[in-house]
Amino acid sequence: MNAPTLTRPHKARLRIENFLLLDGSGAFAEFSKTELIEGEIYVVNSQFQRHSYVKTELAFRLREATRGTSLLVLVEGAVAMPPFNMPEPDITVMHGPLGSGPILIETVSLIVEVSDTSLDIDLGRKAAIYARHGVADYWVVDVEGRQVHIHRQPGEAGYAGVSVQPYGTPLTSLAGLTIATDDLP
Amino acid sequence: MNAPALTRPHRARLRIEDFLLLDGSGAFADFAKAELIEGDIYCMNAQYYRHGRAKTELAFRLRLVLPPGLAMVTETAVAMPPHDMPEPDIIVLEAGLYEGPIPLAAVQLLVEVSDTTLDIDLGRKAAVYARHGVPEYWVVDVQGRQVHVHRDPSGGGYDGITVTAFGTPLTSLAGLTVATDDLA
Repeated sequence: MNAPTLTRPHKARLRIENFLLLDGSGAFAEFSKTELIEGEIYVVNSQFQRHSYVKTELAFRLREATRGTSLLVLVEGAVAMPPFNMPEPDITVMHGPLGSGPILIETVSLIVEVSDTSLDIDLGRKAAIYARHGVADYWVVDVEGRQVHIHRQPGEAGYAGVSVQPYGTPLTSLAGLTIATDDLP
Repeated sequence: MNAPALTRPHRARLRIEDFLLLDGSGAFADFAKAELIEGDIYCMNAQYYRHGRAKTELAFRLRLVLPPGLAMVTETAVAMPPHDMPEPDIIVLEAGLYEGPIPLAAVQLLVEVSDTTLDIDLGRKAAVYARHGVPEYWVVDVQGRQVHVHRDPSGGGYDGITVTAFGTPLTSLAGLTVATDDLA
């Protein structure tokens, strides 16, 4: 894992390969979604109606917008951010062609998280991780607040450019995909 | 692992079987010691002389006074299902041939020798051992030259804790009496 000189116990962080080994053993079979975040495993079971509906609808609109491009829209695909992170964002737009295994970070064009009960996490820890790994465009859809937080200019310290758009205003991704945000519950 | 209804991300705790799978894959090969504590993995590398000497000497003294039917081992994994598998410095247990980690039911006495880890051994480890019903737990404070004897375990910790200075002999619940002179 990582071996500094340790005389005091040091909490070991899991690496993607450790996580995949556990996943392959069925350790997470009871959960609908499992993510590796900073070397720790986080699990989610239930997704409620509003979160699911908004996610599905936005994925559909993004898919419509990718017509004629080589961009691909994936829902809840694992994105490898070695060595200690492998989140499963709600929506990932990636550059084709489709490969096997987790989505490679260098192919990611846009990540979208739809936040109903997890806004603090998505704007906080997740934004920090995505920025550190250079995700160029990261949208957090605040279902309760009916607005979208757009994160750009990633760096080690976070996203330097964050703007907030209320529902109703069309959004255009850095890769040029434009979608409406009207008529979301 | 454990499946309540979760709409917010919930940090999953590893179970002993998950830990063993990772261990078998070589994930901890860089470390001298790996423990599963409350579902998290803790690793250590270096053991320094004072800790090593106190542990070896105390193990020797316990070995000399072992009655028939009891065994003594050092740094061996003890299974405390589902989320704990520590490797205490010294374990006194009922003699027997066990496969894999030591079963909790066989444990009579656990000893941790604390040089740089006194806070952890008196805190988190004591809570874990008490919760699993380890009947007796000694923490040897090398720097403070004393032994914290923990008895009467319960879900809330150890109800009976006494501190004995080096120099006073200690007798375990199982009847083993050892000198504590010159341990460090």
